[in-house]
Amino acid sequence: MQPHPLHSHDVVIVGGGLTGLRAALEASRAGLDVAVISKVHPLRSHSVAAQGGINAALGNAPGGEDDTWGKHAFDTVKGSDFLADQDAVETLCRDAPAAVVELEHMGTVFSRLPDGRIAQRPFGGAGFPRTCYCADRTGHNLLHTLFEQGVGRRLKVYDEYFVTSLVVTDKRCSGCIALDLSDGTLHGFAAKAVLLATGGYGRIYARSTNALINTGDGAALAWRAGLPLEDMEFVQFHPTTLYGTNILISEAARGEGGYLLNSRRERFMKRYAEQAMELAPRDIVARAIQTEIDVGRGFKNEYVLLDLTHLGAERINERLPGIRQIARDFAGADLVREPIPVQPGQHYSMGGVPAETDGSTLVRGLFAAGECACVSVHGANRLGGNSLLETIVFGRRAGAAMVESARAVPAPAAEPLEAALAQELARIDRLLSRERTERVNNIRDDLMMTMFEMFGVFRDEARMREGLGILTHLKSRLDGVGIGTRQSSYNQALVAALELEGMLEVAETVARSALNRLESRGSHARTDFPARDDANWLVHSMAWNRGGQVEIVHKPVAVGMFPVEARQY
Amino acid sequence: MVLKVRRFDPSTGSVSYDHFDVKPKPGLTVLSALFYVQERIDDSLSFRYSCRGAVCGSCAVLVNRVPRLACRTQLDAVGSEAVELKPDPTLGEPEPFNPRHEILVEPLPHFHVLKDLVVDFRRFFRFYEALEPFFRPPEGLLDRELRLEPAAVKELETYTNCIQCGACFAACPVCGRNQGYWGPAALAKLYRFAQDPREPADDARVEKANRPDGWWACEFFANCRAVCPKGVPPNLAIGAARRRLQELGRAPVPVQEETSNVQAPTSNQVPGTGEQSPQEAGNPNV
Repeated sequence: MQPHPLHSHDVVIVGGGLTGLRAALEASRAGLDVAVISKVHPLRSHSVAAQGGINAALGNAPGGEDDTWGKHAFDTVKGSDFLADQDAVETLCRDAPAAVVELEHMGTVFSRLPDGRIAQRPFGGAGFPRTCYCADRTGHNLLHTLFEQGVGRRLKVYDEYFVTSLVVTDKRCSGCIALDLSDGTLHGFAAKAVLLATGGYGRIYARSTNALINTGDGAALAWRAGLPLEDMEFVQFHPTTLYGTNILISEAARGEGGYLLNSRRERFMKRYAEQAMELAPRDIVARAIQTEIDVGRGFKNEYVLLDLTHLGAERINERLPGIRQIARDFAGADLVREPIPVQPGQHYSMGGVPAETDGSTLVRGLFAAGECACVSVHGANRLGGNSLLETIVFGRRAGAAMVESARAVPAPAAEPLEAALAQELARIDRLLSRERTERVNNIRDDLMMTMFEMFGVFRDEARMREGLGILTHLKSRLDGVGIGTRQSSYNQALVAALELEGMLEVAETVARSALNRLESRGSHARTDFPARDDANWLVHSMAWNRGGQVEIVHKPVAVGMFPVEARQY
Repeated sequence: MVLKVRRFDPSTGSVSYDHFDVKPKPGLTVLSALFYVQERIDDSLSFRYSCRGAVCGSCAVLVNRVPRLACRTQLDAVGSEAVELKPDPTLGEPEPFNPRHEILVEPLPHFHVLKDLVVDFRRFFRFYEALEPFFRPPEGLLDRELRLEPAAVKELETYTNCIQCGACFAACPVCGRNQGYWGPAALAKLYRFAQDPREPADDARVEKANRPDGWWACEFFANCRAVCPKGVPPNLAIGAARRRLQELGRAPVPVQEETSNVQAPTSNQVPGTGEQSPQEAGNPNV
């Protein structure tokens, strides 16, 4: 029998990406005992892959002098197809300039204007050049900066620990259970406040730009703890992912002046967004590309071209060196000399664990922020440059709120933690001793293809019903999943099986929420309900776990500053 | 094509090379081949992964004796991508393989092996922590950004591009024989801070590694630069830091840019891979 260590911290943060690290810094600065738990080393988190930048109305760039947080807020709300909660958007955009300056004061090497101020570039759906950037490696630079700051604070990190469940009793969270991947032991973590900062659920889809680790673990943990999931049908498809691997090709490529071309070599965006052209919001550009492909104006019925050749080598090397390297490494193409093949791919999860602007959720002591949460600042479609911003703004706010929360409660009782530990031990033991009739990857591959084909860029009732039937069948196949090895060290097959259970639960909430919404809004485009329907559907979808069944309940949208209007670009 | 993978099982201490048949096709990477093996053939195989897009630094392994990111290494191009490395005698006798039909995948040398291709990064990150890799802002910060010239940004980017994948550490012969050497990645990171014009203008940063295990341990093999997947040149940073210390009159010994003072292996290593013996490698406390 292996020992099962118990740990106790004031604050436990699940996830070591930008949100988690920013929250951890806040709580650590307040003098609390903070621990970060992550299934990968923090520097391997998906935040590292963000390319284009972070939005803030600094007004630095030529032509951007008149930018304000209010204009940023309007663009964000319009981009969201008016589904975002406007009070939350106000918080996001008001906090933005200070968030960027703070990152700079932590040492981030932002790209600069000739006078030394932070440079800003145009991005989709934005009225001004508002996106601050570190070439096209913004996430990498921010993540390394925050990790460095964490080293400076001697932040406690449990890396390569996979959280298997939250400890929730009487609607209060008092810790979590995690599997130490290096030796297979289960650990109990008692905490006065727990933050979910686990990122999105992109990997339930085939053709995703996301890291392989983005399996929606936080959403699944919350779901099993009895929390609803909000707006899960809103899944962002990025217009330009590299054909073949679906690695992200940043919106910055179009922000810097790139063209999208169909097989007739025409800039087809003129038919879809006459003014904004390639810099329309992502949902619109993704649908335009998919439409061109569907009507036969793509290449091989799979992709269109992204042409940067007219930008010249110098500008590309300065502003877009990362995607030049990606195109070279993964498509064998030099985008200085030739256009590259791109297609829409899953990119971002607008939905998630419903959370307030201070990260609090419906369970006391449990907080959520970043991509795993739904605040909701992105509504039905997120603008490029707002996700990095969200991690910093709401990571900080959640960290501060957890400090207050942790100070107000005594150390949690030991019994719920021990009971949860025993439960998880039994669960993992069952999984490890089960005879294998199914392989994890077979079910996962079917799941990903089903989500991509039935709940993709365009949706309709018949396909979604068929998709739901497949999902139900996949869930029944879960009982046959077995692990071929009982090894305790780095048993990745076990982790994959645990991830898969959550992926199927999360996928069902996406499917049910999508089927339920009888309109088209933002990223949710239904061919059988092509119009937006504000009279009936200006509401958030809350998917509740009713004894294993998904029930959808509506929640009003916070409208205020900006009246709901038609959305044109 | 045969994927020849070095296995290490910490529960038994056993080391073996397993052979797996894989069909190379355009676009198939070493990482996807490893997934193919784990998902279809042997799910006890362990290796690190995350972004699969050459930005997170998780999946550095030794492919045909060269440290590379598994995710950006194409199976059908491994043989044709020649990377010339200065020999590392601490690696001992290499495991034989036929590059015409075999691809040899091994864990990074100079790290303890924990399981198969998963290695212990604790020594690597101890050096990273020792350099105090956090920005020291000047006093009197305002609510605006500190100014920074675009030319300075360009120079800093050369080093901030590092993803801490450990490839340079694995390729460096000095890291193989000197357990105390900070290594190329940590020194490149330190140089990035030393060069940052926004920090107070003192020499605290270059002084930080002004010690035998710091800047002065490097012997300019330049394998670090040759294997870096992000084009970072730690050797240039180290040379520049030494010159600055010399200008300050702080260099402990005369600067020698090129030496080939290569010694025989000294530690108890598994022949061919450079990590500690399996018994020690399996014990994370060693």
